[in-house]
Amino acid sequence: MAQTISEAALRQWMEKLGPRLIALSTGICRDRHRAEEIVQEAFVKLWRNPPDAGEIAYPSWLRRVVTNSSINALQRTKRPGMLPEFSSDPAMRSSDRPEHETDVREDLARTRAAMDRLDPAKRTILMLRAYEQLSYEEIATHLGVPLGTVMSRLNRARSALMEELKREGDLGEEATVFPFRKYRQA
Amino acid sequence: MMRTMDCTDIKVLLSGLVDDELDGETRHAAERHVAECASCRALLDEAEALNQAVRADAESGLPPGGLPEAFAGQVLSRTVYADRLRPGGGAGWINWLGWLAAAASLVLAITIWAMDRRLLPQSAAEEPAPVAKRPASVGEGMKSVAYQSRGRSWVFDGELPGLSEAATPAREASSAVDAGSAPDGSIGADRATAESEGEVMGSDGSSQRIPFLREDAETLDATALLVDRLIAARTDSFADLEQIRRIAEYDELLGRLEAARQRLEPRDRGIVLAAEGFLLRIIHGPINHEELQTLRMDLERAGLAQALRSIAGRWQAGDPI
Repeated sequence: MAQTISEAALRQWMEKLGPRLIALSTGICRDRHRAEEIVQEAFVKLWRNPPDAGEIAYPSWLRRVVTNSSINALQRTKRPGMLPEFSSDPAMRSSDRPEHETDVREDLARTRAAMDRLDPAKRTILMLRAYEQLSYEEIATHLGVPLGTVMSRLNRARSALMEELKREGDLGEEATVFPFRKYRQA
Repeated sequence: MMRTMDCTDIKVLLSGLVDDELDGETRHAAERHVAECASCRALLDEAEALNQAVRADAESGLPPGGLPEAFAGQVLSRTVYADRLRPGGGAGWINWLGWLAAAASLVLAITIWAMDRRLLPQSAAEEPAPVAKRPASVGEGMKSVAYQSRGRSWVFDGELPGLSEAATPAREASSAVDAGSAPDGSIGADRATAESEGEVMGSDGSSQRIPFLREDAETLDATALLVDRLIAARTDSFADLEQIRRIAEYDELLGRLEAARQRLEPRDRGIVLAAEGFLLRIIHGPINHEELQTLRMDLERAGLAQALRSIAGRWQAGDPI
């Protein structure tokens, strides 16, 4: 018999997982508004047809639905997703900020621009590993691909992101290494 | 024993190393090499920094302040609340309201159909004589009496010059009722009390329908306006819906419609009942996009606004109500 989810339970799950799922979807489809719609739709699907395994499976089930929907949304529109420029976001403007913080934000803006240019599959696998912190095995299950494919995709995705970051930063020949120290300090 | 690793090995294993996905022995061998090799350490740091950068990018997509304000409401309106409104789904008053709205729509359809038929020319045999018969009691025991002819309420107050002039449309008499008494004091307190309870006692003790009031006509017009407004509203916005809800609540339209319905002939009550169902649906909601669209189409197709205006228009023209 299909499970039912009470209003209170649905609210709790939305509070608990909603923001993170929106961030995941935004990271893939690069559109916050669309991401909210995708995550809303995922919760509607959860309520209508929850996984048989019960509540323990909700997080992974929702993550999978959101990931697939985010990729599909991009494929439907054929429009490259792109988050707003940091410079157009008042909260992200660097004036009146300490120098170190400004540097970090500038690097974040570069990362955002570089991520915008990656293809969705690469963004997805990077998000699943770096943000969701899934193991290779979990990613393999999540995407329905062999473990080896996860490793090779991750390698390619990281190389591609590194290339984009270098291009974005217009780094010279000597500066071949991403300025990771700022992130490590942040 | 595992052989010593070189820089080429580390490049191959770099992702596994940074993601902590290597088995124990391989990991130890890789870590030993990285500890001694500055260039491999730089590569590892770079890969870790890349993870941090992706994480920071993702976290910048977190909605500030947690879940967006309308998020939960929109999901619930499409799930839990929608289920309660579905016939057979959920329980309690919301389900009851759903049934009421459905019943009201049915009544509306039947009423409009019946009204269309009535608008066709009728035979003389079906039509009662347009002359109102003056009750014997007027001017004697009871000073005022209301009765109906051709579906219209008429009131006689005391001595009047002739039948054609004596027949006062209900709306005029009703304003006197509202004031507590007729200008000549012919409508007594008993009459006013009886009218407030929805009926008037005739001289023979039979119950008579109380007259339709000016404010009733205005209530119907106001409701028609809200129906039109909802139909014309933008399909992707709930702002208009919310505004209609506020107006309906502020104006206490539901109660006024119910009062107006009781003062109507039974043939017109279905239309007002449908309007009450519409307002109940709007006031008590919630309604999702699909339901709102369906409601708009139903209202437009049924012609509820026109039907309401038709009743009010008949009153204004002095036609039978």
